[in-house]
Amino acid sequence: MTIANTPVNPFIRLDPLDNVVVARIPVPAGTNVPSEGVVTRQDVPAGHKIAAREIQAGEPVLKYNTVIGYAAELLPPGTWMHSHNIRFDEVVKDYAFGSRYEPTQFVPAAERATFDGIRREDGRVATRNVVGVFVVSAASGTVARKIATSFKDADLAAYPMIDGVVPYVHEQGDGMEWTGEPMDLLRRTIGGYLKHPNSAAALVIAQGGEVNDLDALLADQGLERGPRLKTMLISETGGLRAAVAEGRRLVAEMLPLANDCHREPCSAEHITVGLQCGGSDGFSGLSANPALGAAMDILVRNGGTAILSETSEIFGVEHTLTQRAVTAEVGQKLVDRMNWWLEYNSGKDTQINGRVSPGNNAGGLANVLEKSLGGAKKGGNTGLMGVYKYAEPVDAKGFVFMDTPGYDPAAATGQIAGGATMVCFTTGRGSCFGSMPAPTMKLASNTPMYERMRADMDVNCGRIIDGEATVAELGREIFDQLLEHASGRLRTKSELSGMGNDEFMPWPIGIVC
Amino acid sequence: MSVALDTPTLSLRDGDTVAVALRALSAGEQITAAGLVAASDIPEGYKVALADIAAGDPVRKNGHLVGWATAPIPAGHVVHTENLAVDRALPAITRDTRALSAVPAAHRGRFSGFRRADGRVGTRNIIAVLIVGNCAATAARQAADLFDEDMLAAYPNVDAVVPFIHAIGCGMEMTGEPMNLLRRTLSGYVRHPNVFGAVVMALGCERNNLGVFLEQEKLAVGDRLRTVTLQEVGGVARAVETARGHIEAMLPEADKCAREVVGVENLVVGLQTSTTDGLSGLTVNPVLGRVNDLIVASGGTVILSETPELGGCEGALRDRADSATAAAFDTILAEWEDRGRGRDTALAGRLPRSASEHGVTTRLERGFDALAKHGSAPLSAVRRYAEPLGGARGLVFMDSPDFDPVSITGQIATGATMILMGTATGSVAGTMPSPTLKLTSTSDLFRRRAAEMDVDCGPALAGPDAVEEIAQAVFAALLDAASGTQTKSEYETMRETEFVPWSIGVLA
Repeated sequence: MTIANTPVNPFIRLDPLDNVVVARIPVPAGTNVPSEGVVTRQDVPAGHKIAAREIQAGEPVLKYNTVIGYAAELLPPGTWMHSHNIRFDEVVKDYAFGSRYEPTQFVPAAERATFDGIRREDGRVATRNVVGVFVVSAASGTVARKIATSFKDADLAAYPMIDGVVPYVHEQGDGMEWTGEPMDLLRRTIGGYLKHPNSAAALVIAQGGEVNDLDALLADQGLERGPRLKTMLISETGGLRAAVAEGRRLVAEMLPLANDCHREPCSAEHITVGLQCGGSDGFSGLSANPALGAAMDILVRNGGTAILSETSEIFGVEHTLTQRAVTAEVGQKLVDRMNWWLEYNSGKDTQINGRVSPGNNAGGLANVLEKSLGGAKKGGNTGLMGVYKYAEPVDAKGFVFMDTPGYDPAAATGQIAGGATMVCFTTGRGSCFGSMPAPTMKLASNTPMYERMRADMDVNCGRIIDGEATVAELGREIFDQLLEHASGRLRTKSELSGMGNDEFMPWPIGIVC
Repeated sequence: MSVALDTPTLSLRDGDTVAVALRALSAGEQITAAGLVAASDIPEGYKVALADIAAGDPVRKNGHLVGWATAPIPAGHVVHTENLAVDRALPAITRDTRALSAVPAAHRGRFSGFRRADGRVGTRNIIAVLIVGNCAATAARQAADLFDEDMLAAYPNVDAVVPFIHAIGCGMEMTGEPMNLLRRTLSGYVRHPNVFGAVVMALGCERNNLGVFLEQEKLAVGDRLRTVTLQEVGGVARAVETARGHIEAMLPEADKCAREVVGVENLVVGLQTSTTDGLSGLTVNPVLGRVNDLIVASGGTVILSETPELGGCEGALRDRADSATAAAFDTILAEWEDRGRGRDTALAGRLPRSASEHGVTTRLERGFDALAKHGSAPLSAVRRYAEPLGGARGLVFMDSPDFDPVSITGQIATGATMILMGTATGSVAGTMPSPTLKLTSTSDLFRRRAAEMDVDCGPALAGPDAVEEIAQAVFAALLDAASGTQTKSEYETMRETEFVPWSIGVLA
């Protein structure tokens, strides 16, 4: 049967430079694909690829603008492509640091996109203006939460520039290693939030006597008490109710100062986005992830920063990142982190190496590379400008990588501590994740889920699967909406539902004792 | 038998080479009848050398070896981190078990509790909102927070609707002890005698899958156990509404529960130490030890935990167990040996700051101070973290870290219906669904933190009679609290709690 000139394009173009496109639905042989100017030569199952132009024998097969294999024979346009005519085994995982690095084609400074941000004294630009209540250890969690949640809308009505009083409660801080990476990481994370451009003021609470000593924390992070940073020892307040009252007084004292700021048009180069995915499905790699990647390419060209993370989920595609590294040193940093992970997860039932299930293969994914690429492409295609440890301050512009676990709250916490002022989160199953002080914008991979969870989803990337929009169009749309969210004109769904008060989670890598 | 010289300045036993200052002593002050003079100001709870001690000499406090002198210590000088350490292998430390004479049933203490269908007795009656993973945290807290004091006023027999929020549940190992431990902890709360009913919330795609969790823990959904999956009901707002409906449906039934008078054999008490000082071994710990014996002798159950705190004195507890129990105990100790290797923690000898600032010098010293709270009953059973008590009664050991929120969470999951906590510097812990009664090691702390502390054990310094008197008062207060009298921390923490299942795996 021939479907001539189907009104809706049955194929998805993941990248302008690809020589393959992917079927979003089962497509019979003989179907005309006007967008590519080809006609299918065989039946093509959903999720499978066809040649978008003639591909010579031995020529690289490009999907997501990345070599996923080599043509086993001459492939005329419209040929169905899978394990039978692509030589996947010839893709050598060659780190080849920087071999594919290309300098970013920046938008001239005067023409860059802008958003309404809050410019801080140090030149950084905030997307939100949040007062935080922090704890050095888990023991003070209740007090911190009671203080923060005691500020109702009515209490903040007089402070229109303040976006909320948020508790940052976690489970560590005592009963842990005194020194070394577990403590360094915890302090970097709390310090990163305290110094975050979106943090307008903060109260830090201690019970007294914690391993994560309050003064040591401040000294380690180069922080000093002042009008925007206050501390409280519960042991000196005379009980929890008294502590809550005192903490509330201290926070209230800071509100006028925290409110004393304004939004003004700022270049998009000041936006730093943390990239996340959670509850992914078979559509994620065809819709939400590449669309987000396209948006991040625009952001990077406008001088902004995109942080890819979730190290455990990039096994198999790390060479595609190291090849884009700006220097060998940056590439090597990534390799070092990957090796650390192999040891960290050795003997554990976590499957960090990824597996291609028979279902994946039947769905058109030939190997781990092809499968994991879908996730890594959230970051787009620009050069890898830096690799960071968890919660380390991100000081490079452009596309960077931060080492984090795949677990959403821990990963997003590290990115925000590193300076992300927005989080973009793709999901197929429907994650309800939200974060503060950097809000999370959620991108649905498919329309049925988007319809079911509209109250939690910000963008429906399922329109790519439905054939109603292209990856490039969605990329532009995501970028534009990101600027609206960053400007505070449009609240993310996760902000509206009150998410972000229980999702602060410094990565616990040490022991509890 | 403690022989106090010049009470109330010093405490020591025969053979001790150091004494403990029972109050702050001034430089030049004569501190023994024999004419010993304090060489410097000596803070309360610190140790002072009774005679010249040569470098390398063993140092004995309160009848126990606590370390070896690392420098010569002249008589009258403070003995602390600058001149005392455990720098060599310890001799085996053992202790005999003394059988407790059981209290006849007619004379056992009684309290008024909620008897549940499985025969266990609760001390509180709450509805719990739990999550299989952090992705449902906000929804669960919002659902529970709707039920504030005003809303619950119509249900006088319901103590609270409490969210138990934690940070793990996804990104973790699919199988093995990390996942098993989390599931045991959650189901320990679902089944807890203080919990009338529970709503378990899930996002829907967690590694700690809701269905697998229920199946593995043999939990059946019904009138008193409801589940809500965000991805099924359509997101946060609808999940909150659904959970709220489930809770509203449970409240009238929960309110029908009534207390009845039962014996102490129905009480399960988790023993905790939040912080210690140089006096803990003389005040709060002997009181706890005596209360411990009173409970066990009456047929009740006491759970000891905080494995790292045993600090070199593990043998004293091990020797009270039969061979099978001792073997289970040894397995746990071996795991800690492994876990602590190469880590800069108390396991490698580094004490909490609060302990060393209050006169405790070595981990061994802290371990011996803690021995006093173990009482004298045989060790009847060993449990893993959050493992159900099952038929175990009497003195039980449950493995846990020292870290209070984690240790208490495990004890409650195992079945503790009350928590009895000793503290030297004050603790902000308030626990649900099993309330905490707090005992201070000094009267000064009790005065400073009066709003949070329930019993002052400072006067126990006066000797065994005082210890007995305070222990009887604590026992009475414990039964009172078990019967529904609000503890101070229960009032102070306003129906909130830290719920921290022990995270022992990796996060990927």
